[in-house]
Amino acid sequence: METKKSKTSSILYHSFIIGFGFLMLYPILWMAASSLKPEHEIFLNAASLLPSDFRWENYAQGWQGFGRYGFDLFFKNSMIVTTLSVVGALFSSSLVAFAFARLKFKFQGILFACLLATVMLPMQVTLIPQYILFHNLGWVNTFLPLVVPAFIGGSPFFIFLMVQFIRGIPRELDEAAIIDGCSWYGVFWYVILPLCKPALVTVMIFQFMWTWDDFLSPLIYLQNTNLYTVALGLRAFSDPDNLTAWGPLIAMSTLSLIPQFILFLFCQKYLVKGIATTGIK
Amino acid sequence: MFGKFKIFSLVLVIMMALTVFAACSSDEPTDATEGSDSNGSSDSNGSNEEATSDEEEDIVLRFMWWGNQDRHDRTLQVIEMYEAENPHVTIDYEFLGFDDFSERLATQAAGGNAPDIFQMVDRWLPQYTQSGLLADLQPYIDSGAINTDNIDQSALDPGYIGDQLVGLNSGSNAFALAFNPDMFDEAGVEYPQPGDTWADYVEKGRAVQEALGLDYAVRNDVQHDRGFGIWLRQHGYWLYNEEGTGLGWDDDQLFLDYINFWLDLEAEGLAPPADVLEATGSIENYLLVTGDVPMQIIHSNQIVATSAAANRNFELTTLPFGESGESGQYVRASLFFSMNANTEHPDEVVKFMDFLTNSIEAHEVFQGDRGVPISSEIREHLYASAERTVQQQFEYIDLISEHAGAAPPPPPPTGQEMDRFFENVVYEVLYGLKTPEEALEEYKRGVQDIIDR
Amino acid sequence: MKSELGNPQSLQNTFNKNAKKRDLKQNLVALSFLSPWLIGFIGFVIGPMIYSFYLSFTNYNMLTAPQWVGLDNYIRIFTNDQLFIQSMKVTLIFVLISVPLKLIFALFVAMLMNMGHRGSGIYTLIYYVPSIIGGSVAIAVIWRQIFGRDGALNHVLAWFGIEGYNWFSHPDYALWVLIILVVWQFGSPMVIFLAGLRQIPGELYEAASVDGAGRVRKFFNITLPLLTPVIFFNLIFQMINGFMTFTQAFLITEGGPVNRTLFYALYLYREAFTNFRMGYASALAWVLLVVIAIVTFIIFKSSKKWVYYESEGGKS
Repeated sequence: METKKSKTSSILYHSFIIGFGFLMLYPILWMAASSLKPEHEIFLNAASLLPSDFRWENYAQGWQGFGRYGFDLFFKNSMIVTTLSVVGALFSSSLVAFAFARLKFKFQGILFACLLATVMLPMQVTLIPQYILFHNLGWVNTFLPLVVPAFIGGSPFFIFLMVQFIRGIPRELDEAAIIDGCSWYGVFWYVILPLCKPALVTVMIFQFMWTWDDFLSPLIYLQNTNLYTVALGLRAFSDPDNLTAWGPLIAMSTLSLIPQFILFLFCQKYLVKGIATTGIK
Repeated sequence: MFGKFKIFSLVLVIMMALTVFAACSSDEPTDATEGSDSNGSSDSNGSNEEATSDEEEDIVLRFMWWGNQDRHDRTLQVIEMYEAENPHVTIDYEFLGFDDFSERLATQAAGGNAPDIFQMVDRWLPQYTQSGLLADLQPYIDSGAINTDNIDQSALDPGYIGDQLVGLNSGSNAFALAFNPDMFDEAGVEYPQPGDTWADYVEKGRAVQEALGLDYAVRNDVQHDRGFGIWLRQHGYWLYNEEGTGLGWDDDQLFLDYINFWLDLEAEGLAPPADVLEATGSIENYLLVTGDVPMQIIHSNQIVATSAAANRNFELTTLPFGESGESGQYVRASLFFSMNANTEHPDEVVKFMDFLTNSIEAHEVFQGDRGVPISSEIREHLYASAERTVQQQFEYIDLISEHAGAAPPPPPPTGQEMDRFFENVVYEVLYGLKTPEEALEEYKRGVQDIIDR
Repeated sequence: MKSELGNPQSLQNTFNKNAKKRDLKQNLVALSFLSPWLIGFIGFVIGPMIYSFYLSFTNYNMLTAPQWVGLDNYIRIFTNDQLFIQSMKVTLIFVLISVPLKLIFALFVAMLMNMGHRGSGIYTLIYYVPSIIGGSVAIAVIWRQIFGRDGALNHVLAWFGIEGYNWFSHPDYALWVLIILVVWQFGSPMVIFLAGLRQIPGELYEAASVDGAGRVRKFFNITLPLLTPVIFFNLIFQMINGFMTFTQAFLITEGGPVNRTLFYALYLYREAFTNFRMGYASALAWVLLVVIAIVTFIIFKSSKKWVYYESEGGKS
C-alpha cells in the first residue's frame, strides 16, 4: 500500500517536473529548432518546432562570421576573457569577503555600504569617466578593462555571497587555529579557503555566465574585430533597418549557450551541494 | 587530504593565471593607431595621388560602421582591395550592429578616441556637427580630392549642415511604396502608380483586400518624417522651420486630418489596429512580407531585404500624391560617411572616401548595399549585371527623381528625440488613449519643450 | 550550521571586546585582505562615481566640455519631466511584481528539486538553462515569436477559443511579457535557494512529523524561517537588478508601446546616448541610486524583524 502510494506520487512528481520543464525549455528548444530551419521559414513557419528539413547552413554561415573573422576567434576571445575574469572574481571575492566576515576593522560599516552603493549606480553614467580613465591608461582595445575589474573586486554580489558562506563556517575552527599559532593569513589559507571550495564553484559559475553574456564592456572597450567576444559578434549580425541574418544569428546564439551548459552540467553537483556543506567537517 | 590537494591545485591555477595575466598586460598590443599617430602628420598636400608606397609613411585609419553580416562581409572585402592598392595604409575596422553604434561612438568621442571615418545617419548629423566632431568635406570637393565629375550636386545636398558638407552620401534612397504584383493581378486591380492620390491608394487597397480576403488593405504609415513629413510637404509645409527652432506649420487641421485619415481607415477595417502595427515594424514581420496587405510604404533600399524575407518579388512605385498633385517626395541619403574633424590624416581619409564613392571595383562588391551609388558612371556600370532587387532600386531612384522636390532643411539636433516623441503621441491616439485634439496639444507643447532645452 | 547575512552591525556585535593593540593589528590585516577591492574602488570606481555626480549638475553632450547648470537637472526631473514619472512608475510596478514572483517561483522550483527524488540533478540543469541565455540578442526574436500574433501562446489560446493579441505591443500587457521573461530566468536565485534548503537539518522535519505536523505547517514553521537569510540575500540583489533592468526592454519592446515598458534604465540610456544629455542622465542615475538606497535601507532595517539567524557555533 505504502509503496504503491509513493510510486503514484513519484510518477506525479516526475510528470509534473518534466511537463513543466518542457514549458520552461520551449523557448530554447524553439531557438535550437529554428537554427536548423531555412532562413525564411524561421518567421513564416514560426510556430512549428520541427524544421521542414534539417539544414546546417545557418551554422556554416554563422561560424564563418564576418570576412576573415570567424566565430572560432570570437569563442577563443570569450574564453580568454571569461577564464581570466573567473580567476579574478575567485581571487578578489574570497579575500575581501574574508575580511568582512571574520575581521573587525575601522569603518567596516561605511566600507560595506560603499560596496553596496557601487551596484546601485547604473553603469551607463560611469561609462564615460571609466572609458576616459582606461583610455588614458592605454587599456582601450585590450582585454584589460574587461578582466582587471574582476581582480579588484568589481562584483559586490560575489563578495556579499562569499561573506555569507564564510559566516556559515563555525568560528571555533579559526579560533582553534589561532590558538595553535596560526596568523589570519593562515586561517584564510588553511582553514577558510578549503572549506569554501563549493562556494568558489558557485562564484565561478555565476561569473562565467555573466562575463560570457556581457556585451556592454566588450562593446565599449574592444575596438579591433580580432578582439571581439561572442556576445559582441552576435550583435554584429543585426541591423533593424536592413535584414538581420536571423538564421546564422540564432545558430550562433544556440552554440554560444553550450560552454555555459557544459560548465553547469559538471558543476551543478558542487553548486547545490556546495553551499550546503560549508562548515561541516 | 584529497580535498586539500584540490585546493592547492586551484590555488596553483590562480597563480598561473595571474602570471599569464601579468605577462599579457605587459606585452598586450597597444592601440595601433596611437603608435603610428605619434609619428606626426604625413600629409604633404596632394602628393598622395602619384606617390608610391615607399615614399609614404605607413598609416592606420580607423573605420567604424554598423550593418548586418552581409554588409560586414562586403565592406571587409572592399577594405582589403583598398589596402592592396595602397600598401602604406592599414584600415583598422570596427563593425557593430546598429543598436550599439550610437553608444560606442559617443563614448569614443567623449574620450577623444573617435575613429577617423565612420557611418552616420541624417538625424545624428546636426548634433555631432554642433559638437565639432565632423570635418567639413567641402574643401575636398572643391579641390577635387573627392571626385564629383559624375555626381549630381543634389546627391550631396542631404549631407550639408549650414554650408558645411559633414556627411558624404553613401548612396541614395527614397521612400517608396512596395506592392505585391501577384495580388493585384489576382484581384484584377490596377497597379498603384505615380500620381495616385491617397484616396486612390485606399480604394486600390480595399479592392484587393475584398477580392482576396486579406486582413488589411493598407498599412498605416505614422513615422515622423516619412509619414507626417511627406503629408506636410504635400501641403506645402515641413516639420520644422528653416532654422530648426520651431514647427514649420501652424494650421492645426493638418495634424488632425493626418491622424484622422489613419483612424478612419482603422475603424473601417482597412488598416491594422495599433497593436498589430506596433508589432510589425521590422522587415521580417512586415505585413507585406507575411502577405496580409497588398502594399506597404518602405525605404527603397529595403526592397532587397523585404524580398529576401518574403522569398518573392515586389514592385516599387511612388507614395500617393497630395490632392494638389504635389508628390512631397525627395531623394535621401541612405546613410553618410563622415570624417573625424580631429583626424591626423585627413587627406588619407578623403582618399579612402573617394574610393568608397567612385571605385567601380568597390561598388561591384557593394552591389548597392548602402543605397544607389551617387556616381552616374557607377550606376550605369552596375545596372546591367545587378540582381533584380538592386536594379529595382536604381530604377526607382530614376523614377522618383522625376517627381522629387528639394530636400527639406536638416532636422534640429534633437530631431531623433522628436521622431520618437511624435510616434509616441500618434500611437496614444491609435491605441485610443487620447483624442486627436489632445495629441495635437501634447505634440505642440512637447516639441517646443524639446527644442527649448 | 547556519549562514548569517552580510549585516555589518550584527557582525560587529559578534565580536568580543579585544585589546586595542589587537584592534590595530586586525586593522592592518583587514587592510591587506581588503586591498584588492580598495584598489579597485579607489582607482576605478569612486573616481567615475564622483565625476558622474559632478556631471549631474552640468549640461554635457559628451562631445564638448560640461557646462555647470547648478540644480537645473534635478529641478527638471522633479517638476517637469513626464518621462521620469512614467519610467519610474513602470520600473516600480515591474520591481514590485517581478521580484516577488521570481523569488516565489525560484523557491517553489527549488523545493521541488529538493524532494529527494531521483534525477533532480538533471532537472536542476533543465530549469537553469533559461537563465544562461541571459540578455542575448536571440531572446528578442524568441520572445517576439512566442508572444506575437502568430506566436505559440496564441496557438495554445486558440484551442480554448480565445483570440490573442500581439502581447508585447498591447499597452496593458507588454510589461507582463517582460515580467514573464525575467521570472522565467529564475536560475540564480533558485540555485541559492536550493543550497539554503539543503542546509536545513533533516532532524527538524522528523521532529515535526512526530508532532503530527503536516506539510504546510512544516513549511511555515521550519522551512520558511530557516530560509529567511537566503530570502533576504536574494531579495536585495533581485531588487537592485530589477531597478537596473534594461536589456529586455531595449531588445524586445524598445520601451513601447506608448512608453509602457520604458524602464528607468532605458530612459536614462536614451537620454545619455541618443539624446546626448549625459549631464541629465547622470542626475537621473543619482536619483535612482537614492531610491535604491532607501529601499535597501528599509529592507535591511526590517530584516531584524523577519530574518531569522540561528546562533553561531551549533553543529548540524
